[in-house]
Amino acid sequence: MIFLLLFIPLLLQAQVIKVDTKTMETLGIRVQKVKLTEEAKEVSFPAVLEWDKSATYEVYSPLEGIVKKLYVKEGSFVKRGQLLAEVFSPRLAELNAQIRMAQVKLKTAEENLKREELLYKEEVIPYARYFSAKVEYEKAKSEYSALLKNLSSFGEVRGNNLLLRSPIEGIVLEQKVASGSSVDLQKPLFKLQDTSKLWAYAYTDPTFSVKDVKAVFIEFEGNRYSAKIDWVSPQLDPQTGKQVIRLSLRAPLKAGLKTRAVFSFGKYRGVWLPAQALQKVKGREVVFVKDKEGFKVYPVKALIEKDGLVLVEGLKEGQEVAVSGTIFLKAQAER
Amino acid sequence: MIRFILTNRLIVLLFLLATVIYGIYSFLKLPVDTFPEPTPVQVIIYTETPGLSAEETEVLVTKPIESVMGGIKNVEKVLSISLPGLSYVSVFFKDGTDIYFARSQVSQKLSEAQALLPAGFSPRMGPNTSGLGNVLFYALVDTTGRYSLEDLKTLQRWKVRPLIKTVDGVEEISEWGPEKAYIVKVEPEKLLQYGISAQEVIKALENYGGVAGGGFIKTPEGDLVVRALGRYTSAQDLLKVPLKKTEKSVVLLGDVAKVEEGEMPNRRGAFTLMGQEVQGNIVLKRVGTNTMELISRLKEALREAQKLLPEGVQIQILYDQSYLTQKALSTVEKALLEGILLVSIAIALYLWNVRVALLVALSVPLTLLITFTVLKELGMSANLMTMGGLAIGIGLFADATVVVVENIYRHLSEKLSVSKFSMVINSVQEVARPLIFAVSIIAVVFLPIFTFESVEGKYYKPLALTIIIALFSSLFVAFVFMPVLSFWFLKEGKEETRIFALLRKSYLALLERAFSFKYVILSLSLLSFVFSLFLLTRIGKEFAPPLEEGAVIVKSFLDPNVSLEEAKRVAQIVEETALKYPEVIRTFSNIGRAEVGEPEDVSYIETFIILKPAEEWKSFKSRQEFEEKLREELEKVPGVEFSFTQPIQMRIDELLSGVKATLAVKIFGDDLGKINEIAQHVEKIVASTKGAVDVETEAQSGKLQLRIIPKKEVLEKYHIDTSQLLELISTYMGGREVAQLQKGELLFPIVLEASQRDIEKLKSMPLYISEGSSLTLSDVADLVVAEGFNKIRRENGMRYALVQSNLSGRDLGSFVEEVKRKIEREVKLPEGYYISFGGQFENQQRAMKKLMIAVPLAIGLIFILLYLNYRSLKDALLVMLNVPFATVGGVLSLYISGYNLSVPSAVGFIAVFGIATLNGVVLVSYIRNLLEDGLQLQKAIFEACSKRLRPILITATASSLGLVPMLLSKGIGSEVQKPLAVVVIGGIATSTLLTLLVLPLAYYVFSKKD
Repeated sequence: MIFLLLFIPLLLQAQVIKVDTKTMETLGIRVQKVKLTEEAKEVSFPAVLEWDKSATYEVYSPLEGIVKKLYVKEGSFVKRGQLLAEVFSPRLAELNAQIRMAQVKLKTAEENLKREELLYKEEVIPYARYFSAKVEYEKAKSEYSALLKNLSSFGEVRGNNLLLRSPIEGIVLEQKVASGSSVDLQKPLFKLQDTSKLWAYAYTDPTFSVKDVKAVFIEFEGNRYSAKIDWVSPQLDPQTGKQVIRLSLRAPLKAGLKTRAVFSFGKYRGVWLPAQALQKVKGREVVFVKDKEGFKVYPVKALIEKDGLVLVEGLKEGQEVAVSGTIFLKAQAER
Repeated sequence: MIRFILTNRLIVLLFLLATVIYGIYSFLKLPVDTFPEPTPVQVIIYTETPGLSAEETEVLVTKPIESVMGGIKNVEKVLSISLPGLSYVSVFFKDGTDIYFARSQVSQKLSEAQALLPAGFSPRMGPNTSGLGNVLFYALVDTTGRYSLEDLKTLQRWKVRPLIKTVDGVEEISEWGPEKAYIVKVEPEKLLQYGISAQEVIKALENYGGVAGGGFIKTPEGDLVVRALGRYTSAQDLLKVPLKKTEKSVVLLGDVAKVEEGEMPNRRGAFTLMGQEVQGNIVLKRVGTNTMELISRLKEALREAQKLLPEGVQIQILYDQSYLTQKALSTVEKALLEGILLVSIAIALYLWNVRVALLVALSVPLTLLITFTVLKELGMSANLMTMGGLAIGIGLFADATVVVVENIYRHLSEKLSVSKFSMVINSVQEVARPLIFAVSIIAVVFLPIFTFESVEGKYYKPLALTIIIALFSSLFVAFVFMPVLSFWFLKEGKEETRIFALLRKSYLALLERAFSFKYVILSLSLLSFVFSLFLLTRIGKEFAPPLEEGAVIVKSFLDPNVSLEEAKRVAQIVEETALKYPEVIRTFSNIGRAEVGEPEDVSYIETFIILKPAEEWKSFKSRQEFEEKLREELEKVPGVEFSFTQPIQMRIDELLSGVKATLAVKIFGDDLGKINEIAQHVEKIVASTKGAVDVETEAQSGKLQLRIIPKKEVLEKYHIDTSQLLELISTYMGGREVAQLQKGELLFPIVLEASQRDIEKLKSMPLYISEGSSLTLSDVADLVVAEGFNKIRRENGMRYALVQSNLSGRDLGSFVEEVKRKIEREVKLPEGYYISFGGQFENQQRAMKKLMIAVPLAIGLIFILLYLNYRSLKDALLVMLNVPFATVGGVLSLYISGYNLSVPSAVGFIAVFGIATLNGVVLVSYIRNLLEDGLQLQKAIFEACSKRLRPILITATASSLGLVPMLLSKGIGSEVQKPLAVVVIGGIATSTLLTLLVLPLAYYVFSKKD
């Protein structure tokens, strides 16, 4: 009893809690050395990933026709310029016929021109007749080249088939036709997506401001992918009343994923401690710092709490802080 | 009458034999108990209020129940405790109310109370057990390491419990340890990912795990019972429960959750043995059951149960109340035997005749055997108090026989020329009237004890009743058996030894001397009486000395927010500290509560320390010293307050005032904050008072809570009602059982748990998924950590805060006086606030108040009897002089021995008044006879003193010698009787001295004037 009475004033004044090592051990009071780190203050909101629409391509056949051959299928990875499909186009066949006719015509005109030129040189025919043949030839030539140009304007062509190639590196997100499907300008064959590019729609509190945001991340299963604020919607989501912020990022993630967007504001110097280390004593936030005889009550400031950890400011490097069993120290300190 | 007895002496002899045999039979069959049942008639009503804070529980549940119960007939007091999640009301009935009547009254009113409570809360009556109902503790211990605590609990629940529960007298079994359950750990992120709401998980589990009956179906094989069995039988089954189906795919429970075998969440208690957690159980006895018999039945049942358990699992009995009973009774029985022996030897010495001595020695066991028979017929039990009564009275019980036999012997020796037959009749008839009168006086003295109430009544009424029964039994022995035995057995002899003649001679010389200083002696006696009254004020006061139980309880009070794991560590420290002493046999603790319905949380630990017998103690001499050592060593544990008591003492303290400590200061008032503030102040005052140990203010506030407050407008918008939200919380957080899993014959609960109980994770628990949008818990409710109240106590509808304290090295009476004075001086109470003192102090006060009436009443009764006998105010008053004479010795011996003025010492005073007056009666009656014969006053006085010296000395010696073994005993149970013995021995010593010296002088002085 006398023993206790002696200690009461001591405890009240210095706020030192006496604990010997063995008791510490049995009570499960463990300490952690303070290691100061730069830590960012962060807030996180739910977010949904979508494909970056600026990296989406749809593949159309420039001419209506019938799909002759498909070289890839839904889900295939394609490289830029990789052959995707062959489309037979009746118009191309017609064009080819025309080209062939124009070719014949050109050949005829050329031969006619050669004969007329010879005749003219031998002054068998007048210049006018030669000239007219020349005109005829030029006409056939330009007609032919116009047709050729026309053909080449439909891209790569093999015979009567159009060859469709991938304009980007990415994935065949959707395959909308099968062999034999008819295609035209209304109906795309494939949807390609550059899957490294994503958008994330973050749904934040309406009052949340991005002004001081220093960095943004998308967090998924412990990994973080840095993102950029792309756009802040001028209107709130009509269903939830939340503010919508679009982020763009490159990450090996998939659209449709529901995850969290982390907005980071500035950095602080502090130490991450298990949340248990921080206790409230008489309304003040404190931690318990080990000294020779036991623990000192040490007021601190808590900055951020997450995942059972708390970022604490006000400690010095190398101090030893109680991180478990602190409830006993707290109860003693509150006496 | 006597003639009739003597003529039919053979029949009397046969009757004697029959009495002996039936007496022995009764003694063997007499139910045995430690104490008379001290439990007040009380009924406990508890109501689980999951989700309610202490304040809400108080207002919504406790208050209505209190008001309804307060109206029941014969209700004396209503105490209540409101905790987060539990309302606990105890209704106290007037003493003597039939418990079953009380329970039926309460159960009738329960439905009335039910109507006043919010829907979903149903009050229940607590087990019908007494305060000392924790009769046996046992643990299931696995020696192989193959069984987990959950397995042991399952064994207990399904194998041991059914056996124990059917033992007659068992009301309930508190079972500690984790209960096995299948835990579905849901990962909120995954739910969110698959767009599944938490409610869907609950529904799926509920829907897929049923059993349905399909009636009967007629088949060629006969009529078959149709059963649809959907019950889960393994964890694999659970994983396959589909949660969400689309045309293309299905999401199974296994996709979003893990299933583990584990313990039911939210456990609020544990049981440790020798520092390690075990599966512990406490058997609660039904009110009115005999403890000893119950325990022997229980031990038998436990042996049976052991056979059912797998190899390696042992049932260990840790503590049972019978051990104390056996020790206490053997202490008293030993004292009884020694007393009989001592008294017989003393009487043999006085009478100097072996035959007479043998008869006297025989009379005591005969008296006891008759008493046992009567006790058994009355349905009373042999306990510390009834047996103690016999030990106290042992000397008195010989008296009647001494008088009868001595008279017969005297007449025989005087060799009167009549036949032996008529001489015996004459001698018996001669003493019959005064003897009956004398015995009546002593019996009457004990009557006021029947006015005692409460515990003191329950303890001392049986004691008084036993003494009265035994006194009349002794008369019976003296008048029925002794004449017959004397007729055959006694022979004439010398009347007196030479030593005694010498003694008488010197006494008469002394008396003669005294006559010359009569006024000096008379005033000296008066002075000594005044001095003794002064001494009385200096003697400490207490209710009753604590019974040494051979066990210590350490109570640990922890911060209200402590976890079970942390509490277990504290229990371990306490146990390990105690186990360092070789005197400790074993230690075990119960932490928090076993099941629902008890008002303790994990912040409270009771550690039992069972000690070896006191003879083997080396490191400490007394229990107090041991406690002091432990207290000092435990000082090193920060943040925990410790308090010391003993198992039964604690229970009795608790029964009396609802507090498990010696002194309780209750601060009544309306504002919880305010009364707690005053309590803090009072605690400081109490702690600073000398003698206070284990001062503790119960933490009523400071319990942290996570408040989940629904956002009404959001809920409304999505057509979610609050009940859905509440269901979600009660299931994921509250550990509500959603389905059952069947393993063989056993059913285990299936509970859901959020995989991490982290506030952030909890916030993202998906609640309601509509087309394309999802809501999390944090969208529909605010989650706030706030501080709330932990425990709200009320007495008869008033809130109070509690400061408790134990005492060391000081008496309760003066301690309370000092504390009271200090509080009056230092604490300013707002209007409507007041402080009252409870605990043992309350009893002491009440008992003292009763004694203030009982003692004068006893004296008054003696006086009336005397007056009726003598028809002389003077003679009656003169005999009454023995009361102050006895007081002097009683007070002096109490003061010197250091015992406090307590209920037993007061009972001692009452007893010694009777015995002392008897001395006076013997003397005064004889003087009166001689005066009537015409003798001169002084001569008559001398003659009477000379003739009556021997009977007075025999009575005094016998009465006090009978108590000596009790006084010297160190056994368990003796401490309660010691103050009584001290007072009686001291009182008899002075009163005998004064009867022999002062009373003759006083008689002379006051009669001379006539």
